[in-house]
Amino acid sequence: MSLEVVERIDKVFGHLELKLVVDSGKVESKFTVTQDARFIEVVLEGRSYLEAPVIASRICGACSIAHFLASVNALENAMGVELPEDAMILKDAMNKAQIAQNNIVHLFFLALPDYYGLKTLGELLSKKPDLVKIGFKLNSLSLKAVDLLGGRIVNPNTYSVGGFRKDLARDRIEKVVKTLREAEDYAKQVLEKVIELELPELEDPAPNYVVVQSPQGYLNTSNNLYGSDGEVFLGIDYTKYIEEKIVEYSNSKAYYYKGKVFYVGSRARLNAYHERLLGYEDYISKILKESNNPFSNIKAKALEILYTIVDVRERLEEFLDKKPKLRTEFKVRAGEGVGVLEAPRGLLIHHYKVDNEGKITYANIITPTAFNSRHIEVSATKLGERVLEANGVDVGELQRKASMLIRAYDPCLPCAVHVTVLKSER
Amino acid sequence: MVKVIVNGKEVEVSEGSVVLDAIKKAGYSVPTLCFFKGVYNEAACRMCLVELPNGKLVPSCAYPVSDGLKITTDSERLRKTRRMVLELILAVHKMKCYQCARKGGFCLLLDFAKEFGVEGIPVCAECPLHGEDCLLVKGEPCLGFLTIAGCGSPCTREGTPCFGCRGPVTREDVIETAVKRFIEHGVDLRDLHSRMKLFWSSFPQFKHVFDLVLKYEKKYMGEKK
Ligand code: SF4
Ligand code: SF4
Repeated sequence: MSLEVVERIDKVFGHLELKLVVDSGKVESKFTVTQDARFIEVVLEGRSYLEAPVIASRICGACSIAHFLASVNALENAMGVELPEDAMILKDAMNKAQIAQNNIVHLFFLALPDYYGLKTLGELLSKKPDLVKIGFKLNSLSLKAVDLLGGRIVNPNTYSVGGFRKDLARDRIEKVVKTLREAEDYAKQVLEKVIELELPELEDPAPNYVVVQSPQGYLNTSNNLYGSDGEVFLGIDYTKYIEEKIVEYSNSKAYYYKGKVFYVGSRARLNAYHERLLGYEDYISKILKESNNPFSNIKAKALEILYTIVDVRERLEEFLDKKPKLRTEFKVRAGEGVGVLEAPRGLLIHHYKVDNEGKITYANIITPTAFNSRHIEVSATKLGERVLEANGVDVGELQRKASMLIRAYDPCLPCAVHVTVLKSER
Repeated sequence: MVKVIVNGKEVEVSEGSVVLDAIKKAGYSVPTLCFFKGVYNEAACRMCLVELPNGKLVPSCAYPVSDGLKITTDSERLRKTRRMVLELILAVHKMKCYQCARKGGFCLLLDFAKEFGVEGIPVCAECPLHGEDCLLVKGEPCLGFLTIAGCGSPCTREGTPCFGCRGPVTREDVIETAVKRFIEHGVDLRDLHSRMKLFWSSFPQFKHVFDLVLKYEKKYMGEKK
């Protein structure tokens, strides 16, 4: 007997389908990105280094800062720009603030209702009004921090290659600190709630990950990548370690780390660097019990909300007593660079070549959801088999669990569409 | 009853009426924004201006009729003045339609703006409100001069030159002045072109604007040599 279950997943960013083919106890799953292609890389070609990050940030409204910064990193590497340390810290702060905000949106608006057996945020609001109200509060506070650091809530405009355009005024930094201090308590409450949630049981069939190597601390940017097998390699060598394959049924590609399926995202970051998070041991020990469960991504996200909020505040407090140096001079020159960044949903790679006027001649962008797509498939297969064992062929249950799994990964499709190889003839 | 001659056409209206009544009776119309019959005729918006034989412009919604009064409701001068009036109104209004409950539909002001081809003021008009130095003067390719305001110029406030994301201004005189300034401050014109194509190329008026920019660049670059 063979059965096909096609589930259009709702409550994710963008359009995607999951097809589960059930055939005599075996399950095969196909993760299909149905979002239309967007040709961003072709748009980037011929653009100057000042415009490219602006265009890149338009790839995604949710994580525009991530694309902006990854693009900036790539260009800075290509042109050999040496940033002052303060600018690096503030850049990381911008990214972290956005990770907090994105995680909040993912948790409350998309994922959490699943774990209370509900469908929508509206239902959750009537069942757990206190929790959701905290979520709203937290969202607006973190958005405010993003706004203050990035200049506005989407598509940041405070930064361009070489550093921040202007010194951030002291009272502005004070405002960020104040906002985050207010948010801290809420974040703790959310974490304590989320950490107690019961997750569906599932063992990760491919426990490999790749994250951006954090030189120290957690979520700090570097140019290196770190794989679950302990290998540290340069971002620019990503093609040597990560191979890509075209998937004919999807508008996104599939990626393999040293030939193995792997995942990226909050769970990967936590698994890689949890020892660096001092002061969170209680939470971490609880989360790590299930670290091999893809669903535990939501708990890792909740922890990251608290961590980023505290960390950004602490780092910015140091800025209050000094005049930070936020910009550096540089010469526009030809080169090739890769920017790697931990976006809210995981590893993001921007790869550019620029000519000696700073114009882009080649662009390649690989996004977290594209990395995750293959891993989602193998976990969905595993999950499908579990459901079959436990409940027999129960289409409703299959659909419910599968979409819950996908939402736990927090896929974002508008940026994952990445299949067309076009030769631009300009 | 008094006799009024509207655009050469004779009509009779009762004593104590205003010119607007006569215009309507004669079958003509003038644009009005603030006028609300029986409720409001303070002549505040000045859109309903008409011309008297002596060249005076008067608001028809408040000007009382008198016997033998001759008025004109449409002329080049009137259209220009109404346009200016509209621009003045829009200069303080800011076309932030996305924040408006009407969402840009069923809005008389917006309809008139479209009809008269008025598109609000350029970003430059909002930019100095933040008290920042002009980026164009520093030689940066800022499109604020040619971009419709309403955003509150968040980019120039942060020191980033405007990318023109809100679309181009189409007025020829503004474009001419802008191009003059661009050349005067030594902005790289190729940078500017590339910037213009970034967001503007999706606007229907793009070709018109870009052609004008090229035309004036040619003119003023030639002069410079
Ligand atoms: S040119 Fe740019 S920086 Fe200068 S006033 Fe206009 S918008 Fe502001
Ligand atoms: S780029 Fe857009 S938002 Fe920024 S100043 Fe220009 S029009 Fe305003």
